[in-house]
Amino acid sequence: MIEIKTEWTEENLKKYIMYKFFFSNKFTMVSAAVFGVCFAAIAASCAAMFAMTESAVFLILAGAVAVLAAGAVLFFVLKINKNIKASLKDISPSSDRESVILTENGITVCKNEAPYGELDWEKIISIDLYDKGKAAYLATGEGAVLILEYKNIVRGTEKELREMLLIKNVKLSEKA
Amino acid sequence: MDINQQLAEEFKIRKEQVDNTVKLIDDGNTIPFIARYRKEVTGALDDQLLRELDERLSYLRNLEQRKTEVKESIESGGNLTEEIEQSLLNALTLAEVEDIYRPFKPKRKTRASVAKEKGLQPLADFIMEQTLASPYKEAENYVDEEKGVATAEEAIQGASDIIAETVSDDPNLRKTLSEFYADRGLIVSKAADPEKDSVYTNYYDYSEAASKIPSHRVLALDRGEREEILKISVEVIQEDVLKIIFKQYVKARNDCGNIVKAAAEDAYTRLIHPSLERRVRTELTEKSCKSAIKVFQDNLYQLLMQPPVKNTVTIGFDPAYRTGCKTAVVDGTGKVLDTTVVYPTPPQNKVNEAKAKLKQLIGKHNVTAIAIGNGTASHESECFIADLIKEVDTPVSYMVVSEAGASVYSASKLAAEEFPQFDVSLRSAVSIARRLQDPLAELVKIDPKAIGVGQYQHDMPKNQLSEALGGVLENCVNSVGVDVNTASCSLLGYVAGINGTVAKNIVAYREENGAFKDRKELMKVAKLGKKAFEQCAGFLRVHDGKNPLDNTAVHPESYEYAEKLIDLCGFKLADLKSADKGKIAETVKTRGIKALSEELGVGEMTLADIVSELEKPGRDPRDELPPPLLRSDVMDINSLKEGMELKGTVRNVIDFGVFVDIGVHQDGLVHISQLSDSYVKHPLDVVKVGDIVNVKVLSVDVKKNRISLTMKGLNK
Repeated sequence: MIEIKTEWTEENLKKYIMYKFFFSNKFTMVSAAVFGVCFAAIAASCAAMFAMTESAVFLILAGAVAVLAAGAVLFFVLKINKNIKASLKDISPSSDRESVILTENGITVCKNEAPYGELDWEKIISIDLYDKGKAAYLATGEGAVLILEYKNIVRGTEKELREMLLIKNVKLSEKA
Repeated sequence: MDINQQLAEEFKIRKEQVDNTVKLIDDGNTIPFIARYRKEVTGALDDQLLRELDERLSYLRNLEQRKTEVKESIESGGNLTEEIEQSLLNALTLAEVEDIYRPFKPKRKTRASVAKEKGLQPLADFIMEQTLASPYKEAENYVDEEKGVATAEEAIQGASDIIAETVSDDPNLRKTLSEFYADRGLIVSKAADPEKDSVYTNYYDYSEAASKIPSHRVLALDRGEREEILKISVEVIQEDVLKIIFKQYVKARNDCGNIVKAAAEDAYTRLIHPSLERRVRTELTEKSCKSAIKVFQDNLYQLLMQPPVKNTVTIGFDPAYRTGCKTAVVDGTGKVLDTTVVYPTPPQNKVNEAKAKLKQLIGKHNVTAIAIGNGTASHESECFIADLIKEVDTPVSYMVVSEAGASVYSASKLAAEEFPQFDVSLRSAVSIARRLQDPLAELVKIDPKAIGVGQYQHDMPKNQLSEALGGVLENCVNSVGVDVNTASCSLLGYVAGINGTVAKNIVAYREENGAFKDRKELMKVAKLGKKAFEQCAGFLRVHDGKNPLDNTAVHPESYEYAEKLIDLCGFKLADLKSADKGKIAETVKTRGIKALSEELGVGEMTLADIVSELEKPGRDPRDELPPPLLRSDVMDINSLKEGMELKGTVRNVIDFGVFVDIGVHQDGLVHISQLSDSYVKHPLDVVKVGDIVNVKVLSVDVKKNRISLTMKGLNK
């Protein structure tokens, strides 16, 4: 049995969204890297051409590419921030201290350390272990997500939590 | 809430003015009296503003009372919190107070109340918390066959009903949504039967923003709906409304959140939308009625205040076909001299005989004016009279007067008492003649609703309309003043401080003891006490009485100052009629009104009123207006040509334009866009009923009997 505090802060939400956007999806990660390299290459070649020919066209082109790249980065940053703001707005921070107790049989939702309701493991449709971020994310079919940060474990250990989630994840993939 | 402070802010006047005015109203003073004789106390607030202030004062007092009742009711249920108390304190309208009270109101049986009886409130609370915990698991704890909850699904449904009612009863949400509806709602009109032809065809597939729809259109749609020809609804973009509700209630994307979302959607479609739709419609109708009543009031005021054609022997001509045209000759004081019936119109067409009869009457009584009623056969009668005038040697002119309400009056008990010897139709002819001589004195006898100078008057709330029009009548009567020795009971009844019984007693006193010799004698009238005397004395005039001041609007309480002023001017009170009035103005000018008011010990405003009254004792404010347009010739619609410039009298002002009588049977319409070279928000900003205006013919449709006129580039 593991008891862990569940918090929704701007910080952990940002970490979660970044993870979902870039790291949980290999394709996005690779595409972002490829685009970054391409932008850099184009900008570099334009700069080189400008050095050789001193033609203003290349300088303008390099500038345009740099602006485009900066725009793309800004777009992603703003989008992520917007998502975080929207999520925080959706979920008004409760004054009650919320936590969950994870057992083999199910998840018990607690308020102020007292059990308040139950949630079946069956409702969880994806489990992400983000070791680098020292957190795990449990998502339900409705789009709800439980952010479990290892530092917030009240009862049990990080190892026990990881083990339990790994087993559940295997079961999930088997089911899929 | 400090009501007086709020009134001061709303009317943009000083608090002290409101305090004093409210005290005067509470002391039982009438609006005309306060407006005319308490200018120093109120800071010269006019009667229109005083009436509005009085109306608003009653509303705010009712609001306060309701707030107290609601607070007590919530408190007795043990539900009063600081937040609710504060919301009640901040509520500005009765609707807001009712919204706050809604959740605590003893309810009839609803789906939510049934669910609460089954003990499902805790489950609803659990779902509203919207934690990740499964509501379906929790719902299993509430399954109880005895209570009528057979399955977890049923428990969830009951809890959803409770949530839906909670959402629907939320006063803050209601406030936000009602603002949204008023701002973004669309009034949509559809035909009940698209195949059926009616006057509402323009509205068979029509929509307009609730915030912009003009009042006359709202009233037209309401009428169409009442006649079951139109189906009206209020539409909004549902997604946008749901977004507002979800933002407030849906806290999480999980099972509980989804149930709350579905319940909120149900609350919207089942409870909130129908109620807000009703509210928007009611508010629009109320606003439109208010604006229609305002138009009605303004038109009526202008009609009543039309300058009288005084001291002229007048023929009242009530046109008709089969039954003949009823004719009554009335002298300068309104006394009936002669009556007859002539038949110049079809089917009889006894034109020559009618002409002979009328010529004889004109010669015998020295008639100088003819008033023709504007009803059936009016055009033929107008042509006949115009022809007759050409054949008469003495100067005679005619005017078509509105006979609206004349039939109501002539069939009334009042007319029967006044003219027991005449039949109904002859009474109507007398009334038409008197309308030209003194429209105010004649029209007060008719229920103002029957006068017909507005739009959709039958759709107005009856009490509101009567009250508003009664106020106009009261204003007119009191601003003109009433001759206590000749006024009818109806006219006296509109004088400030005099009710129907006192009016009857005044007439009875007059009949028993002869004419009143001075105002003081009024105190001898039964049931006319000190207070009533204070209220009415200034508005009642005694012509040729003992005291010349009794023929002015100077109140007896100010006689002392008036007499001192007359002394200062160097003449005697008895000589007021013949004295050189220039001396009064001269005295005021040389001494200065401020110094003079201090010397006499009277307020500046009262002194200014005394001065203007002494300068023109017994003046009638209506005489200062342009006289009515009397005609001696008639035109035919066929003789109208585009571009022709004419003079006309404004007969009716409505939201979309003005009807002008140009001496042709059919009144021409000046559309609002043709009223002025600049933008006109409402026709009443430019003209009023009875105004004499220059118009140019834009187009004439003989088949449809329509004349379009313009005032652009004219009337500068």
